Amino acid sequence: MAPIFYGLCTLAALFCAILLLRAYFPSRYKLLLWGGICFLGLTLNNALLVVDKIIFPEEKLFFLGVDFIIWRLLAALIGMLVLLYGIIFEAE
Amino acid sequence: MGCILTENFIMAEPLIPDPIAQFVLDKIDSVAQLEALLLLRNNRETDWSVGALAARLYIHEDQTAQVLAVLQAQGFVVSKGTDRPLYRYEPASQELHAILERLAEIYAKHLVPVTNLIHSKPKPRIQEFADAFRLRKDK
Amino acid sequence: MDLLLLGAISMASFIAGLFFLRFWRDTQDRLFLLFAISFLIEGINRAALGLSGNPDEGRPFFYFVRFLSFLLIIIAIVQKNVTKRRNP
Repeated sequence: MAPIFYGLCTLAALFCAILLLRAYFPSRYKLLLWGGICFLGLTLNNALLVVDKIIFPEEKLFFLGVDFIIWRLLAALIGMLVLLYGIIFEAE
Repeated sequence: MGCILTENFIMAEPLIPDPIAQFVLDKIDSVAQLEALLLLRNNRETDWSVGALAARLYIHEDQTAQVLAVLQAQGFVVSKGTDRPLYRYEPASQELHAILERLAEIYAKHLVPVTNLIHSKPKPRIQEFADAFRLRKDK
Repeated sequence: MDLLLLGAISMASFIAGLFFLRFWRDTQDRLFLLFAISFLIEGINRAALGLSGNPDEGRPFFYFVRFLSFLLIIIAIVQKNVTKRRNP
């Protein structure tokens, strides 16, 4: 069940990222770029969660010697920090 | 319609008639948009590219492209071609055409009141974030 | 380390939610309200994950709440594209 829901979340986040980045190119409003990157981070966060749960449900994954969960969470954190940067400095 | 007798009595009729003022508030978001529209109207036989229009209006090409996209979605102009589209003034209905003619007339006579009206609309830029989620870029 | 990251993400989500509330106040655009609630819910979700001793996103509560937060965003997008125009 979990992978299905997280898979849908991945798609939703990707959809938002595409809409924001698509709007960024004509208007060049920076917040759209940062917002798009935020949602890409959230897409990655949820996608990696699906990978973790479906492909390797029983194992503890490692990547470059670090627990996979750290990479997953870093993707989300960096996305959120980029969004906050955009909101604080570029929202006008 | 300003006739000679009433021109001395400015208070007798508003500078911008209500329907036109309402139209400006609803549809015109920036002076650049209005200028672009009127430029296309004054040269309605010509097909304009984004670059040519941006050069005439002294604004950035990206902003021009966006303004033209909005004007097209609103049914004031039509475009030809997809790669480097050309735009031409062609209101979607007789009504629109009539309103735009009236607006052009009023703008020529009372530029400052019209621009004041446009600028009186509060439109924080953050609105663009929400607008990014419009799938059809229609007003 | 993962608890620290969860806490940071939770906090960032709350702050983003607050900013979206302010954008809603400024523009009266309902999309911002829905985004605000979405991010606030995710903030709570991440905090709950962190507080749950052994963070396991596989549990139903966590994926339901995450799904709900994205559902709110989808609803925001749908309502933005479906509302009747005020001036025909």
